[in-house]
Amino acid sequence: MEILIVEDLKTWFPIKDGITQRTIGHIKAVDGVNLRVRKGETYGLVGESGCGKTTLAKSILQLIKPTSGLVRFDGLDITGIRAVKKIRRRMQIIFQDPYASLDPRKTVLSALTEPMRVHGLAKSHSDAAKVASELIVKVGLNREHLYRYPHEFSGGQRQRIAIARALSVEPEFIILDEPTSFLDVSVQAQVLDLLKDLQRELQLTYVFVSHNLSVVQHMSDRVGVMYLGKIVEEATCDAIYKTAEHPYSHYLITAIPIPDPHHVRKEKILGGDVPSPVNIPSGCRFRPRCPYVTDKCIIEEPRLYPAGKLHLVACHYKINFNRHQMVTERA
Amino acid sequence: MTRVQNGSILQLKNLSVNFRTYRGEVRALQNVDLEISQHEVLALVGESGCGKSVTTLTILNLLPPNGYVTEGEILLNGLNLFKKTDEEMRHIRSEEIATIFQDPMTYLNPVLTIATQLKESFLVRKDFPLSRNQTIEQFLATKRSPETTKVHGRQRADIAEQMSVDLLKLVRLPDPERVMKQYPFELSGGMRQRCMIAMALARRPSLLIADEITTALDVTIQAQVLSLLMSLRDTIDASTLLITHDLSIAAETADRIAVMYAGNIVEVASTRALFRSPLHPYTKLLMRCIPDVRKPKARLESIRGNVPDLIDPPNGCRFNPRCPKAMEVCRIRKPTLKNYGNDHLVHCFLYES
Repeated sequence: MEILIVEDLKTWFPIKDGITQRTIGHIKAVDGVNLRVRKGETYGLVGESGCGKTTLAKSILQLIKPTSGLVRFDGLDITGIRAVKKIRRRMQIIFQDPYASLDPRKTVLSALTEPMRVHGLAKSHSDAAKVASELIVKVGLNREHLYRYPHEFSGGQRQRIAIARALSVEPEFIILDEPTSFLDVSVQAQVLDLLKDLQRELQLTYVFVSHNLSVVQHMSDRVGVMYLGKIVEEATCDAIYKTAEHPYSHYLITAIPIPDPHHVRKEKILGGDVPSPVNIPSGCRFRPRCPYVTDKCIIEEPRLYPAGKLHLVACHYKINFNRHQMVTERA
Repeated sequence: MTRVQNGSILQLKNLSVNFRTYRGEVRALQNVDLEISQHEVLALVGESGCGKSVTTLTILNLLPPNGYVTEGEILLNGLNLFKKTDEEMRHIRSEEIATIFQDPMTYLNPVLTIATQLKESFLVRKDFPLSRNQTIEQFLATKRSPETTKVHGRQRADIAEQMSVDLLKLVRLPDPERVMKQYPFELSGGMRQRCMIAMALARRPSLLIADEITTALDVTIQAQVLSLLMSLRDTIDASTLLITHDLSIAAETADRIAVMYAGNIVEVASTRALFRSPLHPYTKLLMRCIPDVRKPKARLESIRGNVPDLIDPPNGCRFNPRCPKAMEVCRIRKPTLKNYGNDHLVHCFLYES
């Protein structure tokens, strides 16, 4: 069953200039995204910086007002502030930087009890404190930690507190926006495994946003690859890492450094840079960097073609990356 | 400058660095020994706060006012850097050691064009240009020529201009003539980092320090920059100190790897030897923490506990509170450096007997 349905979501930011602050263009951060997330799964969202991952995450939660499109959560249309207020409690987000997302002047206890108070979940302060002390143990810290301030904790511990705070309102759905990119590798795994355990225990649904492909692979059931505001390929985790069909996903995955000095990189490295989201290229948005570009790519923007079970690809052609040649045109 | 016979460019000997803070003394580096040979790429790998960047700053003598060296010495081509005057040190930073930092935006001057900044890198050296007609590759490969061509004023600037364009081509920037006229804010992160690399190369350094140069870049751009750095290895005659938190990057680029933990070097070995048979418990655990896309695992491993506070570091071996193989002696004494054969060095009591 789908808990989250996103249909043709667009979030554009106007660029204003001059004395009259006339709109002279738009930054098309999210430019027509379709997404379906099923209950209990982890949907990984990968892409390079500036591709619109975080804007998409925030637009889903209505933290940024989308320009157009539809977001449905558990069957309810939540576009618009009034609608979203009803389901705020059920959708939470954990941000990238645990140094910025915790109030330095609040103890851990008040950081954990405030959301419960706001949403009217606890009858009294002592009830809330009881729940908070259960939560803090659940995320692997001690009860004594409740009376401390954020600056007394390390990055990994702070991220645990942020997780506990998100869980304090008993959500069903959590967006994890780069939850480990501020942490060291030796600590990163602790937090990822904690998130996995909590998901199993509390039947949570995750959208896991990250630029780190190895981490996304570790966490996700399905993965969507974003490029310049659009999802260009979506598949199960196995399929995307073994048989990626979009040239961008293919090059993205082969660019990951491999922790093995004997590994020889067979693939060419993708040249060029991500174009500006203000002037998105015509046709396929990947075409200026794509080595397989044809005239059709310049004229026609590819839709998401089915390429197998649960596998969608926004590319006109089927490409054999081993032989570096196009096989067929998709219909 | 005369080269040392054993071929090492940079030697850190028993180096310790402290920082004075309101909370107390931070023991950022403790008895660090490190050596970089000629034409070698040495990767210094460790987690944040382990002292990688302090090492860079100490080599460059750019420690902040509250940081100071308590013991040890740094030798560049056999000469002690701590005995240099400020003026000599400035000279070394411009001609001998070139550093590329993590965030190119903060190190490029925002109000000058790339052309101005890149040309300056050529012109700082009094012996520029070496001769009237030489390709950029020849220029970069020549370290120091006994006689310099006397070219002055306008002509010198023109040669610098032409060489800048060639150099930007060499670092694979598209449309170098246009980039020359642009300001840093007009360039993307990858392009800026290429400009930084170009500026570092223009000074023909004998040591290149690359401090987390790809951390601010995306994976595909990171791959471009790293492959560029590797392809330039044969063009320039310099050793590279590559500082990174990512063992995978070190695996792909370095000849030797030094693993740092909490201000100590715990293990030094050739890249292949380190990955084949890591010796120190920290290195072993660190390797199991990195996710490998080719071999997905059900659970990642992590190292219990946290990185220690260096104001009050653990006694003995600094890794002992997190080490699964910690013994009584680890809490009392600091392990000495043991050569395990083939220059595989390790700081651990497990290998002392």
